[in-house]
Amino acid sequence: MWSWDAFFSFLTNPQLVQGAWTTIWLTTVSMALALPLAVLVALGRASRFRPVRLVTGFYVWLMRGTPLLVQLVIIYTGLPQLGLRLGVISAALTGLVLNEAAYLSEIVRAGVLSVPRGQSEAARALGMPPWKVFRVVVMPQALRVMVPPLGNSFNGLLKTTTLVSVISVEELLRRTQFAVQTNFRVLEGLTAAALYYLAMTTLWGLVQRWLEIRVGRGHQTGPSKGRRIKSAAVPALEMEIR
Amino acid sequence: MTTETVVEARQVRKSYGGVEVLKGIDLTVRQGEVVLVLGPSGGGKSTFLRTLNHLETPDSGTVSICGERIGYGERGALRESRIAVQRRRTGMVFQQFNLFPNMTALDNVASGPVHVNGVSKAQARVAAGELLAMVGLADKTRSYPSQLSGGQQQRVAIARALAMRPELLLFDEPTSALDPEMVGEVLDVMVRLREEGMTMIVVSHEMGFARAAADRVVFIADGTVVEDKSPDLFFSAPEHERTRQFLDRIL
Ligand SMILES: Nc1ncnc2c1ncn2[C@@H]1O[C@H](COP(=O)(O)OP(=O)(O)OP(=O)(O)O)[C@@H](O)[C@H]1O
Ligand SMILES: [Mg+2]
Repeated sequence: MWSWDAFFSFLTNPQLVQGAWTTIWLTTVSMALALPLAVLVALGRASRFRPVRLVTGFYVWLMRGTPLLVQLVIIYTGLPQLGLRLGVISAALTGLVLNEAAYLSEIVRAGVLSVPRGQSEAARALGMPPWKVFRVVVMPQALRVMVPPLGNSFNGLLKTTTLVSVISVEELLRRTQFAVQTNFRVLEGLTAAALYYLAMTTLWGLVQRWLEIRVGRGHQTGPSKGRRIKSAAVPALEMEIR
Repeated sequence: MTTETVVEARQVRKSYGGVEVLKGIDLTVRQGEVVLVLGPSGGGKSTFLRTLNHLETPDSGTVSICGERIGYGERGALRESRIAVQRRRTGMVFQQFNLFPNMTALDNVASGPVHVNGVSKAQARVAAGELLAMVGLADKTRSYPSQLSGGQQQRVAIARALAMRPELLLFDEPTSALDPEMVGEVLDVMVRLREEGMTMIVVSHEMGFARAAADRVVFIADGTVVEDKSPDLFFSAPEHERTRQFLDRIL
């Protein structure tokens, strides 16, 4: 039997609100730390120096080739064996950031490669030094292409954080499970949690739309008004699957 | 009065994958001169032009701009950030315009002074507005490149190069990507620059421009300078068979 009372009491349960908050900040902080790391990794993979290319390539290969769940358990439960003991939150952040950065670096790389060569040449011809060429000319244009897949990654990460419940981080899923244990209303409890996730991803969708419009400056004209960003040159970027 | 040498290229060579594209090119250009570069496709015109600001590194030979050797200092090859400083003296205009699509026309023109010379944005925009007015685009300052015609974009690109107050302007087929009715507006700007004394090297097949505005015509084929003459002599009395064949085809 479905109980609306139980459902609504889960929806308004401060435990779930707390958990949702933890989920949001875990996602945001992970993303904020992973993105600069991803830029470094992407630059490393395009480096002139072979050792740098090898190390960054190995890192991406390793992170994308193993399950995040395994990485998290190794970091939290396995590393203490080697004398490296991390707190719950540090372990969760470390795992999420290291894993996410590997995926994001592919997005950054594709974004940078999507900027036509003529753009950096024009900047160099003006006399811009390399880092200005990158920051002033290449990066803003790469961002336009990167924002949709980065947005998808953020959306995915909101849900991926459920995995850190396994190493006992009290995010939304784990808090819900605790709350459920008081009355064993599993269906109502998890439906409420699902609604929370839905609300968070929907809200993020709005933020993403706004970001896409912001970085799309200068590309507004032409017949494809309003749809310009969708899959313009990035079909490969959109299929970021884990 | 001796006129200053702006460009001095000596025995410039460049190969791609074992194929020699430039086979020892010499060129001297004095201040205020307008040199038109002609030649068959694949002859190395673009490659040579790009060695002049080190967008392409020559395998051997030297390039000096205003007496300064490009790409090399007292202790050998320079880093890209040092070469960037040397490039300030040279402006370049590309066939495909290469305007920055995320900036307005005004900010495109201001981008050099702001990001290279560290001029304040407000100050650079004032100067950029004047340059846009000079190329006849006073009313387009707030337009993005995607909102401009090809001819307008190319004039913005010229203004962007001028904003750095270069000693030398390089043009690589500046009108080849334009609809015929827009070619004139770009050439007009270039003719005006010549009148103001700008030193220019122009790769172009616009014969009208060659006759009206060029001081010299340089014919490059198979990676060498085949002919280097005044336009009158070049068109009326070419010395080499290779040149005659080429002229027969394009005139
Ligand atoms: N980056 C490169 N890598 C390999 N080959 C190149 C490269 N750049 C130019 N080439 C080759 O060098 C030769 C000269 O090219 P270049 O573009 O300088 O000729 P061009 O005279 O400007 O021709 P066009 O009139 O078609 O523009 C061509 O055969 C071209 O294929
Ligand atoms: Mg060319």
